[in-house]
Amino acid sequence: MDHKQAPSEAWIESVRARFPTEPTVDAALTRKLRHRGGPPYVPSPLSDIEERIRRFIEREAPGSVVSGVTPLGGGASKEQYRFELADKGKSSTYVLRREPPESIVETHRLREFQMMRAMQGVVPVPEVPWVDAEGQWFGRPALISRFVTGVAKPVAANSNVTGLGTEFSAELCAKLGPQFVDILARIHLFDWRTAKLDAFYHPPEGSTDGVHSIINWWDRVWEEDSPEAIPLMRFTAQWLRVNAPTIERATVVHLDYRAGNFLFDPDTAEIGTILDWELCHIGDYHEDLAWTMQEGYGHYDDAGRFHVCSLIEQTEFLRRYQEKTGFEIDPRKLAYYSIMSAWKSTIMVLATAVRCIMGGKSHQDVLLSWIISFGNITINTLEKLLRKEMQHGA
Amino acid sequence: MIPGIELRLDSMRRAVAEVILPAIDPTNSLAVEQAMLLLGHIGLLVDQAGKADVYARLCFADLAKMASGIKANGGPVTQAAAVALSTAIGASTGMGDADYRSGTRALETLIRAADVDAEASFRLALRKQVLAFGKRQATRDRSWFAASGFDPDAASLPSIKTMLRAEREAVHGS
Repeated sequence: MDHKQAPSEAWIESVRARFPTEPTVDAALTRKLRHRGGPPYVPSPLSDIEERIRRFIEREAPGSVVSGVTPLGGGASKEQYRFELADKGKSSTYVLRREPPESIVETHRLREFQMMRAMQGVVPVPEVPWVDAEGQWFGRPALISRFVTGVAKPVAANSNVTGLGTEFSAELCAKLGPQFVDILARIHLFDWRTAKLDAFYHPPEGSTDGVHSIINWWDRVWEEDSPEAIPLMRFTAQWLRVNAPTIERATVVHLDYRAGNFLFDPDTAEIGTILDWELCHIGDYHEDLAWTMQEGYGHYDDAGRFHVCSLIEQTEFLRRYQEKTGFEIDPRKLAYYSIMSAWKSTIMVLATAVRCIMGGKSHQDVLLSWIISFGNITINTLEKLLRKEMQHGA
Repeated sequence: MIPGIELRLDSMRRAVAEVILPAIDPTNSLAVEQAMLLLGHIGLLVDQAGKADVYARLCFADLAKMASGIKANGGPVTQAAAVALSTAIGASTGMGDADYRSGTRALETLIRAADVDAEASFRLALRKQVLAFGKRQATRDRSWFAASGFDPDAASLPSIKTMLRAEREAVHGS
């Protein structure tokens, strides 16, 4: 067993000192490490989940009746349970989203909760009435949101797990593509300074501090989770530090804005909700653009044109985004964040997912061991992008 | 060896597809999703069965070939890391997977060391070598896992069998 599988307190403290990052990011990662030596994931009986929800609701919404607790699939990260809540003859459906002991991304529920609340009325997002940030009620940190109807992919469409590789018809692309861009633009235009987002670091503009905070976050995750050395990853971390650009305009960054993370009405093709806000932070909008434009999320057509998330042709994606936001798109920054995106994706799948499986820590280990092979695509992309940058002398 | 691994994997595939999956409550989307993933994993294992050790040894052989071409130029930290890399490669146990891990760990240490006190020209040369090796390894791994269906350019990849043959020729010249 390597030292990362049962880390000592001294090692944990040394990692924290070497990679200073946002306090709530540090809190989530430190909690992960301190629990790593603990037992593997064991599915909770539904009766236990139901009882926990019932006790929580008795306190938060006295008189309401809980029923129909059912596990939900989809997603690679958190346990999800659907349930009904009846109050004075009116029934509504909710989703409990609870952390497994470890998952493909270790994040703080308070961040997700605050950001989803901040985004109410800005973009379509599920209402989130409750959070149990420390796991006092649910045994592990959790949040509860309204259940939103819709589909993540066309009925009977070809796709891989978590929405990767989803194929959309031309008709659907024509309807979904523009909405997809417009919602991203609204996220970036949102005036986050007026919202309650005290769980987030507010990076100064005109500085590289926010970029280094992100590099430290993910370099720390690589250090904590990687099961073996990948020389290219070390080189990339060095390159990212040396070439970090300043953040000129700080915006909300969703960081997992892609097909599979929104639901739409299959009849009208209207996007009804944006999901998976757990990786959100305040940073450079180029980071989001580059993440969404990752090669592994889209496809090339016969003419060699890239279609972002297989929804909208890349030139049109950028043109429409610029039109909606009025923001300048700096090709150098886009190139930088493309490298960062491939690096972060690789960390998630070739470090954290593997470490999770090694400890048997999640309800989705079988999915995580499948998604690991996506890491070869991201590594391949990383090498191509770095080589191109080195040819340009960076 | 009867029954062979491939035969047993195929029996498992049929059990999941024909008996287990149809018996799952369709409203339990998590269970349905995981049963589908089992099918996918079995397909991947069929592709890779009996080839994992050969594959790991070829990956290590390529790493060793690349490492032998590294001529470190720098201060004591760089020089020590270069010696450690050479030692790690030379201490090959014949266990491809373990050798590969030990070699990549030593190479990573050299990359860190080069950042401390290597000559600029060596840093650049090392980066080029790391990139070139990264490209070859990623290409091999893409073939190895092509059946997972993630690769947007899977059509361009050789089969595992073809890839292993080509790698063997490239490394051993036969």
